[in-house]
Amino acid sequence: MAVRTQFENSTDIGVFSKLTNSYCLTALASSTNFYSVFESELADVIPIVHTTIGGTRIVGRLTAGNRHGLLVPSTTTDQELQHLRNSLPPSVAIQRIEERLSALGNVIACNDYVALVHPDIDRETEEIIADTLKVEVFRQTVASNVLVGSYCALSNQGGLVHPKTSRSELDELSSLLQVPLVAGTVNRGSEVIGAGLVVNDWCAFTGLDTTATEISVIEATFRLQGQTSAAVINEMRDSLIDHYA
Amino acid sequence: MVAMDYEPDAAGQESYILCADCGTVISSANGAGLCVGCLRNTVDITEGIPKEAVLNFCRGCERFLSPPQTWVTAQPESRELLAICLKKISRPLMKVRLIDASFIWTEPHSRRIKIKVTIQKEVLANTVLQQTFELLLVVHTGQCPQCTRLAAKNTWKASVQVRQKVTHKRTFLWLEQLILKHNAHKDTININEKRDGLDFFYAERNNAIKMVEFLAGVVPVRTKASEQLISSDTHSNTSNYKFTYSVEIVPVCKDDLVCLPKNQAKAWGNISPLTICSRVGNTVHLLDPMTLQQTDVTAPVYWRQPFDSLATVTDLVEFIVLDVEPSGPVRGKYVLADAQVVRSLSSGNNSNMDEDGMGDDGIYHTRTHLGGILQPGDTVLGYHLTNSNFNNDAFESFNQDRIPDVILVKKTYPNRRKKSKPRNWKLRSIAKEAEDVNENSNTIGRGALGRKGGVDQRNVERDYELFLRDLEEDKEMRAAINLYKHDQQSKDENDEDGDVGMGDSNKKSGSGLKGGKKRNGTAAAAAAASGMQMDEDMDTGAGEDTDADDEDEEDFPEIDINELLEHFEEMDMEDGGEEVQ
Amino acid sequence: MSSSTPISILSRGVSVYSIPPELLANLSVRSIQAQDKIGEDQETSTKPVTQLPTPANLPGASGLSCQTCPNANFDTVEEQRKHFKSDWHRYNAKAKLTGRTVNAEEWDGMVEGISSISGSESSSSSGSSSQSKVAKLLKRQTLGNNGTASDDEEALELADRQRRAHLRTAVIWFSPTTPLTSLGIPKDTQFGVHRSLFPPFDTAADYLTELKRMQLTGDEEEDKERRLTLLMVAGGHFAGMVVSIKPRGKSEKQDVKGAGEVRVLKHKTFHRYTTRKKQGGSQALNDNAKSKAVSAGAMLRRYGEQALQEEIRALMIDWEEDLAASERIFIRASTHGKKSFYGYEGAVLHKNDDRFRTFPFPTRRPTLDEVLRCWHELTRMKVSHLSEDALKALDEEYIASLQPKNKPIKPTPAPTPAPSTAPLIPKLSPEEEAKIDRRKRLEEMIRKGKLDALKSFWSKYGNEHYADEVEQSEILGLCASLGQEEILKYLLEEEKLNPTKSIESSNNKKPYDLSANKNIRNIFRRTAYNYPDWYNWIEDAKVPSGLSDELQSEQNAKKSERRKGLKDKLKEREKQKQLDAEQQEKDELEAEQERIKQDHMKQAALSLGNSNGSTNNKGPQKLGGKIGGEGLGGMTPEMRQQIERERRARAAEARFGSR
Repeated sequence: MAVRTQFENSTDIGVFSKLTNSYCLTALASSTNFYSVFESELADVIPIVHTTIGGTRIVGRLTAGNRHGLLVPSTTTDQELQHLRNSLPPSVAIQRIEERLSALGNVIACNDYVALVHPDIDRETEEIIADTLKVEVFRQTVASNVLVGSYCALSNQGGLVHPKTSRSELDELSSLLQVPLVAGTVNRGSEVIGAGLVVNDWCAFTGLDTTATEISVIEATFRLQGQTSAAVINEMRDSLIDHYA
Repeated sequence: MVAMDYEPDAAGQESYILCADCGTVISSANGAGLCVGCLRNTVDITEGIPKEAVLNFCRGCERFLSPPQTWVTAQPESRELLAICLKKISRPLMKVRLIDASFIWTEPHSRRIKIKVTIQKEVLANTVLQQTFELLLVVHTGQCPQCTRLAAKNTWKASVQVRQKVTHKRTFLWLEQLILKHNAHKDTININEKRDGLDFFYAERNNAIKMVEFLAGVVPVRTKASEQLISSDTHSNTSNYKFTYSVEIVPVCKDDLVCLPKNQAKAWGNISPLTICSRVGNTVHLLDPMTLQQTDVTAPVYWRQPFDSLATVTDLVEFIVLDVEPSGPVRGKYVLADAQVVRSLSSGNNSNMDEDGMGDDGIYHTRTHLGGILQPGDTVLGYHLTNSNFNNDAFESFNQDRIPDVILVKKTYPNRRKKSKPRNWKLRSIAKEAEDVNENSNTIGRGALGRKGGVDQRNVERDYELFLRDLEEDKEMRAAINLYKHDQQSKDENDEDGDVGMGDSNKKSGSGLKGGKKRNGTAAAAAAASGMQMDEDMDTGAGEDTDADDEDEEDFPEIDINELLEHFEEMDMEDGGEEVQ
Repeated sequence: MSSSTPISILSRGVSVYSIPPELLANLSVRSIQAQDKIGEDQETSTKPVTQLPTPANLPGASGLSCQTCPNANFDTVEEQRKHFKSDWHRYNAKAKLTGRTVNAEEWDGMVEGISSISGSESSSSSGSSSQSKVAKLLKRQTLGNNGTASDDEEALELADRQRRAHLRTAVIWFSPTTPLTSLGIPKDTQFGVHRSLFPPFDTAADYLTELKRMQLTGDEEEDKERRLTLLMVAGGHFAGMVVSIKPRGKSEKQDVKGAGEVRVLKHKTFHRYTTRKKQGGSQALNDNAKSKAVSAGAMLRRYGEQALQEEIRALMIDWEEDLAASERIFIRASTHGKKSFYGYEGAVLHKNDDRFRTFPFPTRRPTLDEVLRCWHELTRMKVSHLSEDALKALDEEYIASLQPKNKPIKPTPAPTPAPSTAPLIPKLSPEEEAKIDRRKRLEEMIRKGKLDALKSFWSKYGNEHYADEVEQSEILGLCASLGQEEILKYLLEEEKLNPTKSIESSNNKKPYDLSANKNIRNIFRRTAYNYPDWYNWIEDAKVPSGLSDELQSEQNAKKSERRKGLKDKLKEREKQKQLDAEQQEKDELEAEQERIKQDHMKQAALSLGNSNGSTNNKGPQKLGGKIGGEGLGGMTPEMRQQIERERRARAAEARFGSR
């Protein structure tokens, strides 16, 4: 299911929310409309956390995370960190990162297994990413853009990348990420995928401007048709059990 | 889902996405993520360009207003009109690229002009959209300022009245050439001939002032300004005046004989009171032919105590030089000489040589400044004072003993003249452009003068001939004005062509030009055509003289072809005298 | 070194552009690190699996490849993924953004020096080190590095410093692979060339090839075309000069005073009042920093700056052709001053011109003399005599002196070599040492014109040690070039040194050709006249004709008037020379002491710098410190003297000429 929504008249919902398979972060807004959209889809499945990061609402751009963990920038206050710890499932590791490139959401694009990061990111950060998110880290660019987090959205099922990504680059990235990738747009032609789309394995939220064509591309890419949260969770659980077995 | 046929090599670098709106596969090269169609639907590149505008049209002169101020004649569907139309939207057009523009036909009476404009604009990183739209222009009729002025019959604001109280028009003929040379008549809207002079009319006061200043620069004048209140607005405290400048030119001309009042003569370097005027620039140059003494009289000085000429050119009589003997003093081109002269036979009424009964043989001894150019046998013009009677206080108070019998003024060339060789040069005339609309085509006159016909006319013809001779004989004078070549061979054709070329539209304007042409014809023809009666004595005398003395004067002045300017016709026809050079 | 050292080419200063071919053929680049480890450590993590010579795969066609790295193809996904984690790929991922990626070979070349730094291949340390490696490589991609690992396994830090050390030296040192006795170059001699004369290279070998390429071809036309431009602007003074690389011929006109054999094509200096005397700093800076000053002086200075800039720009346009033809353009200017040269509408030069260089040493107020000095400094080969050990010590010293990484550091000086006159040359046999020593003393004596000392010296050693005719000619050549008449006369007539051999170190010229002035030539000619049967004067010694006493006296009589004045000058000069000599002696004494001290202390390197005695500056030196220490920097004392002499002679001539 892909759902259109907007945050206080802005269609860049990826800026104000972060969605993973095990939790969802949304920014504090003056109304709960935005939150409600998420809640209607995700309630009872994963926790939805209202938070700010470093006092700002652009939580989606400042944080990076997946099922295993959440990375927050150094600007995050202790209070916020505490709030996140309290709200997120205990299996999710939260890590504050001292990194020059503090908009982690822009410089890191990840699913549960692989992360693409900005080529200039610190070595230490890279290690923390690998450890916290339990992913394999690759320094990469997407269509010659270093802000990989801004220009692609990944899930374990697939990924949508910058429209100008060439075929061969798509091939290379998908072989790297081991998921099918498609070049596309959101929000009626916007190439800033990360800002217009948040996605996990069974549902996606896109900006209100996103056209039907784009929705169809998104649903096909992320295999959201017929996916239910229950099935995914079960599958996930299976793999978890597999993992711990 | 982007299943496409692609060649591995090229396609590897290409990328394809679905159009966000319609879902067709497109290359993602344009940054919009939309196919061209969808993009065109979303973006209007003609935004900000007005689709309607107003065109101002003057009904009087059928011209369009080309912003900001000029009025241009433009045919319907012409390039000029298109340019004017596009100018209306030039500012918003700066932001786009104009590809094409053309007229869509509309009924002229509809007072609507439609233009199809095609523009291009880059909408995103490298996507150029092209769009065509219609521009509708409504023609508003009105009056251009010129037509307004014409309609109001309130055409001039300032006039310059130039007067010279003399019997001939030579000064004005000379002035006309000066004005042409300096293009001083540029802003003149009308020229009228009045008794003793001309009136120049101007739309602006400063143009008139300019003219006055020009005149003051070339001739000695006295100026008086006056104004007439037309209307006044008490609210804005503004008023509307007509200005008139009265310019009076010193009535002393070249070659006039002048007798100065005694005290004045004393004041001006103790010059002998009996002088001839050697030249009139912006001052009057007086020369005592007996001593070669000279004095300059500036306009203010002259007007403080004006004097009149004793005798003028018309009083000159011909003499034959019997002997010339330079007596020493030389001043510039003047050489003082003692001369013996006798009245020329041609001078008429000299059947009795000893007419004055003084028992002499009619041979006069005199002293002249023309020693440099006179040879025995030459013909010379001079004032015959012994048998002249002047009514002049200054002359009478002058010691009669010191009055010479004869004062020689200038050399003349009757033999050469009578051959009536056509001149190879001619002058332009201000008349054409100052043409009076009411005048019919067969007006005759010399330049701005004598066009009214009547009494003046004959004089004007004579004056014109004399003026031309003066020009021929005086190099300095020639240098101050423009002479034009006259193509003798093609004269006839030219005449026709010229007349045809002047065309129907321009019929009335022939006078100046025609006059100029005729002037260049044979003197006899000219005389006949214009009814001119050159001094009969001069002509007949010359005729008689031919037998006796057939040889030409050696030093007859010829005008060097290099002095002449080309293309009189073209200039005259084309620019209507706007620009001489 | 069997034969005694001939008159070394080193004593005359060798132009970078005309290195004797024998020497050139033998040179090799010295880097700070030892060179012998190249190729040892091939097995590095950074080396990707690219050895298979798979024909260029179309990306995505035959399977796995990397878009970023040129020619990287893989058989398995694992290989590909591994590649994506490699340093090579990481480097390219960034380099791609600037449009330059390197292939595997280039990458190997780039990391060679540092790859082994990490020593053991322990994953963690190698990871972080290679990380910094990539960063660093990215930072200075343009700089070459041929250095390889030092033998000790110390720390990365050290290696890093080493690398930096090499990359930062202002001077590239070359050393002859074999001692060239024929040129009088002893063992352990190093030649330095300013790095700024070269284009930026990656590998050391390039410098050598470039050095060879730079040599004058001998082809008149071609050489004439080559030129350098030097431009300086500071404190309202501007000095600019376009110099042909080819030296001036003897016959050609010299219009720059004191330029010697430098072929100055264009030169120009001007000055405007732009800087307040007590305060310094340009008016524009002051205006920008504070509000605009309104004093009359400020106005003047502002105008001065403007005018100076306009003048310079006009000059640039004037010199456009020369500038275009220049191989290098040396510019000294503040940021503001540079605007006079480029970065404005209609500029002749362009900002990113790769011929631009700054002067790699301190310069003084821009004057013609200073520009000349800089020219000499830039194009003269620097010479040092240091043994391997000393060098190593120096290197270590220098590397240690570098600040730790990540701090912006000012480039510290290159290992400053001891000058050619350094008395001690380590590792020479005592015999050789003595020989060199003697040779030096001899040269010194000739230089100072100490005839008496020379006489006794000669009687002691002369006959046995300087029997070689070639060498004799060289000594004569030295005398001739230094203008030592007395000594020349003595050597020619009394000791009968052979003037017929050609001197290799100075382009195979005969001693006569090296004559500094007419008097010297006269001495040759007179000897030729007096003893016509000694040698074949005309053909072998190139002495044109004998000069009899009568002939000379005649000539003398002719010029006696002129002579008189000149003699006074000469006397004065002699006096000056005497003073100089004393000074030099004193300095020599000090140098001797210093040398002894050096022997005691193992860190010879640092203090070696200025032991030739004109200064005894022992502190850390600046770039080009050796030269800076020499007073009329950049020129050897001989050179200086020569210039001074020429200047005076010219002045005297001018004076007499005007009478």
